[in-house]
Amino acid sequence: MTVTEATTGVRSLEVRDLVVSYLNGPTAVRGAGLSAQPGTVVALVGPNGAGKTTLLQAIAGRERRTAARLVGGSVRLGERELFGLPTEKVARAGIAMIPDRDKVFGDLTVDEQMRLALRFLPRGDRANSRTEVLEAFPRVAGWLERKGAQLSGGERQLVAMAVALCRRPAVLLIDEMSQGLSPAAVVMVGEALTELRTRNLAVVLVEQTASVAERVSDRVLGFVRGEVVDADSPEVHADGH
Amino acid sequence: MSILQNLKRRPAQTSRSVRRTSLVLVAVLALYALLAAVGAVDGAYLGQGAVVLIAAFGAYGLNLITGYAGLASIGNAGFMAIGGIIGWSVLESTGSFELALLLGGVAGLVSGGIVGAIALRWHGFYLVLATLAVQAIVVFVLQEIQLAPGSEYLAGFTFGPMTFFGVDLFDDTTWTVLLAVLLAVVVLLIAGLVDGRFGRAWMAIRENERAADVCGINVVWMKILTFAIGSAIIAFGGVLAAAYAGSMSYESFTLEVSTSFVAMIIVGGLGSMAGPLLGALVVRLIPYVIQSNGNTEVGRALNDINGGTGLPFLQTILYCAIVLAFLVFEPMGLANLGNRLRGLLARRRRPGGGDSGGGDPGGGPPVPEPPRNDPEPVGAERSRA
Amino acid sequence: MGTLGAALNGVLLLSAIYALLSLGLVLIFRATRVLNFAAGAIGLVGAYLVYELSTIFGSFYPALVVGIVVAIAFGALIYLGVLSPISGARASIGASTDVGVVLGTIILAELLIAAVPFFAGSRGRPVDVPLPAWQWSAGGLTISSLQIVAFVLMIAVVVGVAVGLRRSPLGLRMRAAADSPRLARLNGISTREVATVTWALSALVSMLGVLLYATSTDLQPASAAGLGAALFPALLLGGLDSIGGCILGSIVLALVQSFSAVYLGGEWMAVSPYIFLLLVLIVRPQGFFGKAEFSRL
Repeated sequence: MTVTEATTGVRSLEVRDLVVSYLNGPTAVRGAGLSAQPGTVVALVGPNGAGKTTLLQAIAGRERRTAARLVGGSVRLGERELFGLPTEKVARAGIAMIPDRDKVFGDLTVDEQMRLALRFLPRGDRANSRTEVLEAFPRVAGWLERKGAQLSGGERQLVAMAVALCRRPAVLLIDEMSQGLSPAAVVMVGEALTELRTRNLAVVLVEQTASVAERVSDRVLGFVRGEVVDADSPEVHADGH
Repeated sequence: MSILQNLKRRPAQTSRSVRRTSLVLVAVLALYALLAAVGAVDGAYLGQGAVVLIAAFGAYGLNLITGYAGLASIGNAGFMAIGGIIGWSVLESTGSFELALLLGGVAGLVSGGIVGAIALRWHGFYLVLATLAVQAIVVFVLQEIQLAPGSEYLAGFTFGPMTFFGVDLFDDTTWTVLLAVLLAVVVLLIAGLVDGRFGRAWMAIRENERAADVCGINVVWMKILTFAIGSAIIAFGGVLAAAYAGSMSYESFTLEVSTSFVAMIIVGGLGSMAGPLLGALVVRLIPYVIQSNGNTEVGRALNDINGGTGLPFLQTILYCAIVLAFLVFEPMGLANLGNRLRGLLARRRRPGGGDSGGGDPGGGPPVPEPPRNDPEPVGAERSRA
Repeated sequence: MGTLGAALNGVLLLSAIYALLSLGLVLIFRATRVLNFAAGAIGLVGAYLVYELSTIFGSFYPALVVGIVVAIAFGALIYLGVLSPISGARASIGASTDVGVVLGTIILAELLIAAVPFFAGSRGRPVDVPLPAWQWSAGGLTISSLQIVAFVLMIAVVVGVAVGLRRSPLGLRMRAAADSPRLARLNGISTREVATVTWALSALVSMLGVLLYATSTDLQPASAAGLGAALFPALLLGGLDSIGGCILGSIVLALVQSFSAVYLGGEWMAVSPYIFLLLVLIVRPQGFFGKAEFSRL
């Protein structure tokens, strides 16, 4: 049961006309589209409840046990259409995601979590990838034997990024990147993001704080009522961020 | 967020259908009682009908617990035994059947409250384990009384002659009328609960316990209360079952009995008004159908598979298979059949536009969209909160 | 002394039986958060098969090997064919899948326990394990080679599973899926695959448990059903998700059962686990080794 699909390589993400609705509820994402090129960071900002998280989750794959239903659209990674595939298949195709909660496994040590991520690579590349990541994230190297539950919020975000990077994904999605982090941790994570950018990786992140989004990203998109809008649109900043 | 919307939105939509379904049920019960009273129902069927009506009490009680409050329980046999034995002692000492029914129900309420208070302080599935224990312990106590040296109850606890507000209960016709009337009362009571504050609280709890808690619903108290009320109805049904049979014995309160009630509410439709009655009908009639076909060629062949004792096992196999098929193919049960038919007739209509005939307080989702892919592993929901 | 010896008689065997069966439940609970009421019944099917095969082959161990293979396949089939579809169907209507699946296992247990006698007849089957007969007695206490083998087998299986979870790549995936299913899928783990493997493994250990049971008394469908229910106190005491805890819980349960049978009377044997269960629920519902995740909600 090793991962056989090719997972590495430089590919861009193209999302078009994505529609997601909730069972018995409103349509959360209405025809949203975005693209992310390798080596760039795209930030989505918008008011609470705009559907940013739902959009990110829909890109990351289909989950059956949530009330969200993927209605239609297209999620292309390079040449490959991923829309509607289950989450684990999308993950193996090269899209990594760091969710807003449960960023790391509480019960597994950091080392074990890296081992899980390294399964994505052919055997011969694993040691290299691990060394590279630990060089890029020297702090993480000191936490290898700690369990996820023993890490602070900022440490978890950093570990999650390092673990994702072990897989050499084409795209990294980060939900609510700075939420709940101390100002110092936000700076730390921002530095890590700069490091990620040198890896020819396309990053899409959801960020509540507009100033953080401006600082860490190449392009800021607004997201209001399930649609991608211009970042300067007044509605984007409706709730004061 | 969605929970608040639902609290405001759904009940208005469904209370009409809950009320309508319960009134239809009352009408059906009244019609059946009337037909029985004027002698239009064959005597052989009256007995079967009474068995179904009695089972329906237990099914309605369990549906309140499992269908509406979302708590799995396999305690029916235990609470029926509690109701039965309390009813029997009241009847023995006072001669009043009305009081026996009342106190049997109260015994269910109290014991259900105690068991709920023990098990429901924690995660919901501890209730299944506690009800398992209740069943075993109650049966053990009855057994100890019945089989004690010098016991007068070796053959069971027999019920003397009974009257209900002056009416002698001696034949299937009077029993049928009484059972139909009492069941109608239970149906109206449950409809009132579903339609009111309880119904909204259950819905909120099922969707998201933590959010419900934040909205000011005392989740634990609500669950305990619901379990107690459900147990009261089950125990009430237990008095009726024992009284109708004329006697009760510890041997008849097995785990299989409890399981058959679980089967009823699944087949009928979890959390629907009409479901328990429909489920009781199907599950109680399967043994009847099999027995009446026992002498056909197929029946004999099946009976002989294991050397001549196959049919009782076949009953169990058949009804369990039916229940599993419902869980997989029609998780909303027979009560959803109306919706299905309407959906077939009006394909073009906007999905979800149909009113829920089953009276599901969860908004009666429309005909389930077929899973587009292989289903997920079971459980594993905790990371979502 | 004689009574105490009698009370301790059989505790080794009984706790081995409970530990194997509750290990199966713990595995499934960890992987899918579901209480499996069908463990005894699933084990019964495998054990019956081993019995039938050993009369056909005329020898126990080849039958055991075939039985192990079939039990593994059967467990996987039950998950893929019954429990997974149930959970999928309930998820598609937005209903609680946990309740549906628990009810499903209750019904499944009843189905299997009726299916075995329907096809094979309800007469009891004694399983005869060919072992060097040897026993040691002191006071009322008798320890036979069978008891020792049973207990050692149980320890070996439990330790083997625990080490496998800790060390092997599959164990790592299983722990990840148990920890956070969603994050596991985001890490490319098919939680469905993991659950299938778990059910297969669980069916295997359940079968071993029921086989041990059948060495001491005849193999009967009804008693397997009772076994599937009676082991819940052990499970609860050990903590629903603790593999080590199920050994301790099982030993305690076995002691409670045999002491109550000897000191209170044989009729207490069947009911004492349930009284014990209620006591555990009142005093320490999270068990002694379970994680303290049982908040008030």
